[in-house]
Amino acid sequence: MGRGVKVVHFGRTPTKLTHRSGLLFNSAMKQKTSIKVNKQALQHLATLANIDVSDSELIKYQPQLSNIISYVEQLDEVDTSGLQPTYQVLDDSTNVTREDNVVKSLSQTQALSQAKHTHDGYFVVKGVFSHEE
Amino acid sequence: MKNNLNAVLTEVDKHGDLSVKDNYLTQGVRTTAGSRVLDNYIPQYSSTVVTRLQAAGHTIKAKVNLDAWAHGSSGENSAFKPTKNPWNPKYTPGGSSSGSAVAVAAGLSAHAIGSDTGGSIRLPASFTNTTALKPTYGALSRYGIVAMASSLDCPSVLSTSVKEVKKLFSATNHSDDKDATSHSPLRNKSHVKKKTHYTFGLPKEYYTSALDPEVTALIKQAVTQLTDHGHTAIPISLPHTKYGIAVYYLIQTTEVASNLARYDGIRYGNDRSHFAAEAERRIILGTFSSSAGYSDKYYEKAAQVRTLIIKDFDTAFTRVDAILAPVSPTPPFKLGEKTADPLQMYLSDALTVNMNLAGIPALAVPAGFTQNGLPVGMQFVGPRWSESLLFDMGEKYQSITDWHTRKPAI
Repeated sequence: MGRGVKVVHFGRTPTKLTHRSGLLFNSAMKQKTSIKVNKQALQHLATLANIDVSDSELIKYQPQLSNIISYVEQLDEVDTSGLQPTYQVLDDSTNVTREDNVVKSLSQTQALSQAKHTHDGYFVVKGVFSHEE
Repeated sequence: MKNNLNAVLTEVDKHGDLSVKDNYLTQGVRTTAGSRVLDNYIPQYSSTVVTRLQAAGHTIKAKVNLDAWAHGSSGENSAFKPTKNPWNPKYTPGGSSSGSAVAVAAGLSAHAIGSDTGGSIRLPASFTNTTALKPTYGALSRYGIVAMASSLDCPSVLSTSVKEVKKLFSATNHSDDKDATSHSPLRNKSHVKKKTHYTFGLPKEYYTSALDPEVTALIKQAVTQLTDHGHTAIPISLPHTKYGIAVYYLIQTTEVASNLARYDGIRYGNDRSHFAAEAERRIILGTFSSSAGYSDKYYEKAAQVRTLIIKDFDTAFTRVDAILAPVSPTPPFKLGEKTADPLQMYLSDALTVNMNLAGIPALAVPAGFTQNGLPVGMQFVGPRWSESLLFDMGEKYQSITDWHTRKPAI
């Protein structure tokens, strides 16, 4: 308690990461040498994911994540041309549907029971179009 | 002593027989997922697996410890301090289902449930001399379980023998209208036949010089016991095995970043400042590998190599009934040994992640002890929906060995 409601940035448009932005790599992307993710890039990714990362955490994560990214780049050596990607491993599945009837669900009181801030049966969130608290 | 192992997060009923990993929602009972983000969360409903086990006569004894969000191989990422291994409290019990395995190994409860996204039930089973099944993806409903990586997550069961694990599985192995991925047309189709003698494949990529020599010796001994009883073991190859961890850490983190986006502290729980280091690392990595400009090189590439890993297994299962492999390249490691280097921690799962990428079942059983008295586990791995076969193999193995009956002195 006492921290208040954490602002959720619904209104922010995330900046896209692009090759040209130069944000992620100290060296050119095409180079085979292992890449390094710089602190500024990590801060940008953290902002996109809406997590607060302190400077000391960034200093800690930077070599760890660079190390992991270098490791996963071993996939470059696999020839995957023409291969279908696998996003899920289900068998020949079909859509599962049901009749559009109202079924038993949580009551409004139950649904709101875990929220720190509610008002007249609603969740309270930070204003999206204004900055009124 | 049992409490010193730090397996229990919330006691529920002292007469209960079931320990429940704290990423399963339990109505009216605090559910933390091992994270400060949810340290005050009291679910309004229960997960399907919990409800089914209760209907089958089980009672929850305790909600048990885990790596926060099930991210980890040692239990050390829990916001509520690590769980200790009952065979030697200086060692980790493996993760992320640490509390589930320790509760059963230490005799706190007869049974436990956990989850396995990249080895999270099998590694703790292997490190604690318990028996566990990571089922076929989609066999058990994921409804009401804190989602980690949705294309990989498998609710999983753990107990003291294959016989007991089989009962837990049959009580929970049902489709669920609340989880569309549980509706497979192949469910309940008996396309696998039990045999008197099986043919096991030993993938050369699993039995490398990188394996701990004691692990190699114990698994070879187990293979010999099986072949002495009429089964056959042949060398096979799963050529893309070595890419498993790389594929897994791209796909899994991408799905983690997406699943953890829902924690905003508005509807329940605390705000996003409560995430700890490992969740933050995975969120950042997943955001990176799926971001515009990089997803082709990372996430999409990983999804293509995943196809090759699945083909390796498909090819192998045309020749063998199941694959026999160690669960972990090493025996249990010490608390603190790998915490400074996330990549080293990730590599603990080198022999388990590929089954999650392929969605196939794996049954982990005890296979003996090191000179230092630490447990080593082995896994039977079969094609999708081959659980009944794996149980038959596991029961045959446990009828000729007694490792699973050994208990730690506590």
